[in-house]
Order: sequence, then structure tokens, then C-alpha cells
Amino acid sequence: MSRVDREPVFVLHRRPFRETSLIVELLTARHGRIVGVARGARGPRSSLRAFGEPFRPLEAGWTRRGEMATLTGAEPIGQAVVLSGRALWCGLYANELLLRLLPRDVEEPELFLAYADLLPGLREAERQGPALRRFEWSLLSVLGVAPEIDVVGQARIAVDPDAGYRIDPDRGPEPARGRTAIPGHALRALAAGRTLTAADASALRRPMRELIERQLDGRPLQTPKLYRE
Amino acid sequence: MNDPLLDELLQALRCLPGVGSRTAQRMALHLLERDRPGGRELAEVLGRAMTEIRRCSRCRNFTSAELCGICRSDKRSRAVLCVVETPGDVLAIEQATGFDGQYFVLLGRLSPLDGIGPEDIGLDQLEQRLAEEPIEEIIVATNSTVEGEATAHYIGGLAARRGIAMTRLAQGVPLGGELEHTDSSTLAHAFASRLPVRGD
Ligand SMILES: [Zn+2]
Repeated sequence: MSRVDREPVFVLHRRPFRETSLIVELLTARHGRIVGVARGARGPRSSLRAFGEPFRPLEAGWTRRGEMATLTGAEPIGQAVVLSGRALWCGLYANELLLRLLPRDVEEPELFLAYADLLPGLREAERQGPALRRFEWSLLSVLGVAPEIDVVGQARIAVDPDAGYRIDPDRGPEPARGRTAIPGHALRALAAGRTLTAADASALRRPMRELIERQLDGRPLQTPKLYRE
Repeated sequence: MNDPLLDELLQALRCLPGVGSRTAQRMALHLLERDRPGGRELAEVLGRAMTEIRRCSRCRNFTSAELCGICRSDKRSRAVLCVVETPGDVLAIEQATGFDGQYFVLLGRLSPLDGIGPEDIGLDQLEQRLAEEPIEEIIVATNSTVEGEATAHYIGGLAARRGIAMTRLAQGVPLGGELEHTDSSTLAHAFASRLPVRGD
């Protein structure tokens, strides 16, 4: 049996279990995504109540043998990020991405930091797109399915900031024209981890969605059907 | 308990919330020893309720008629519609407030991560009501959970498309609560949804 104390986590999702408990999906700082049961967490005085709340940074403890952890403690840390309206839907989208794409028990500290970085960015409307693109890119990179997007072709010529491109999921950027072409500077900014403008983020939305869809085995994401970024 | 029918009764009682094997045993023995008429009446009413109670065709609340009492009433305002998650919420609002408008009961909440979409909670039916009825204001009284908030935002979109005003129940510090002892998330929400105070 393994035991973990005071591990920074985020609740990605939780479902009622039995009469007073919760099954909780967590993104943890050092143990990847795990699932656990929080017994009695729906009771008004439970010390595990904080597991009912996604997007709240927590310090959690658990014991574990087998896949299902038994959650033993939850203490809020740092400031609560209040997500409402569209920002909340963006947050749900990020959570759905993690639940669908990140396998359990893959240790990815980098992704935890990317997620912690994402949430505050969602609070301002004009930063939502850039924050989501960066998070999507981190996720694809961690999963090892992100193509190189700042070089073209086998000759690996650097993407021209002033030219337009489309992304082929296997071959990477290809020159393109027209309304849906992605500006080269947006691709370079994304690859280099630089801040994206709202316009760059919006040009990158569709190609990123296409890269993500390839990982979903034909079962589409639910959140993008219900809100428009 | 050594008797097949009695065992069956004990097992059946355990479908009630909060009833484990101990309580089921107490309930069954009580009815058998002390209150057979009560037990018969319970069985008869329960049987009828399970077949006859369905959803009101307008508000989705439970009713044994086509329309529930609230929807049938001609004394209530038709201009204000309150959207709630459960029939229990209707009872709570009726008892606690003087609200005299209409209701719409979602019987759930949007939860994309569980695959629960707009049709599953009757939002297509709500849209139709917004189109057909003289509704001027929607009060969204969903729970203050992530899903309740997401549901409210989605309904806000439906209302906005029809130019209908929408309000949401205030979320804040509980009555009689001291700030110092309010949990940090509640306080953060109360802070974010603070109200202007008019000095007269
Ligand atoms: Zn009704």
C-alpha cells in the first residue's frame, strides 16, 4: 500500500457515489491523473468536502492499493479561482481534454504546471483563447503527438512569420492561402511558448482541434458542442 | 430472516435512501407487528403513485394530471419563469419565498463530462416555452455547483437570443455567517458577485 500526503492537486471531475461519497478524478502534481473515493465527502461537515469543487487548488492525501485511491484529506491552498460563464465552460473543456486524453498514472509534472497556469488566464475574455491554445499544445506535446510546427518539410526550413500555412497532422506546416491560413508568426509563437495574441489564438483554434480530434477515436468531445470559444 | 417473503421485503425496503439492513429490519417488523393497516395503505398508495405520477407536460414537475397545480393555476404570473434542478427545489422556493410565477424543472443539470446534454434536461422544451409563452424574465435557481453554473450560463444564451431578461440567485455569505468563518470559495464567489449599495 502506498501513502501520499499534502500533494498539490486539482479536482477534474467528481461523481456521487453511494449516498454521501464521491468518486473523484484528480490531476496531481507528481503522480499524474488518479481516481479516488472520498468517503462521506458530501456530508456538510466532512473534511473531504473540498473534493466536490473543481478548479480549486488543493493539498490532498491518499492511500492506495490497486487503481482506486482512498482519499484521506483535502485542504484548499492559494486563492480560489472563480470561473463563471464562458470562463467556466473553457475550464470544463480543459478538464474534458485531460479526462479523455491523459491516461491515468502517467507522471507529468509539466502538465500540472500548464493546467495551474491555464486557470487564471481564463478569467479575462481576451486571454481565454491564448490560454487554451497553450494548454492544448502542452497536452499534445506531453502525449508525444504534437507535430513540429515551426519548420516546413524535410528540409526543415523555418516557418516564415509573414507567410500563411495549414497544418498537416503528419507532415506539419504546409504553405496555404486564404481566410483559414494560419500566420507563420502564430506558429512560431506557439512552438516557442511565447504569449499569443487573441487573433493568433483564434487562427490556431481549428488546426489544434483537428490535432486533438485525431486522438479521440471518433468519439467527439462534449463541451465544445455547448459553448463557442 | 429465514422466510423468503420477509427477506424479499427487507431487500425491497433498502431501495430507500438512508435505509440499510438494520433499518429495513426495523421498518418491516414495525409494520408487521404494530401497523398492518398502515403497511397496506403504504403499499396501495406507493403502487398508485409509481404508475400515475409523471412529469407535468409544461414544467416537468411531478404530477398525476397532465398539468400540475402550479401550471393550472390562473392566479400566478405568466411573465416570470423560475428554472430549478429538482422538484424538491420547487417545494423549497414555494415555502421560503412569495414567488408566484411559473416553474421549469430540469430534473438534472448540464454535465458534459458525464454526457448529459441540453435535451437530457429538457432545454429543447424550455426553448419552446420561451417561444410560445409571454415570458419576460427567467430566474435561474440552479445549484451553486460547477454544473449548476454552467447550466445557468447556457440558459442565459437561450434567453439572450430571445431578448428575455435573466437573473440568477445571488451566491454569497450565508445569513448570520461571519466572514472570518466563511469558507474561502464561498467568500471568493460572494466577493465576485458583490452588489452596488445605494446611499439615499
Ligand atoms: Zn407544471
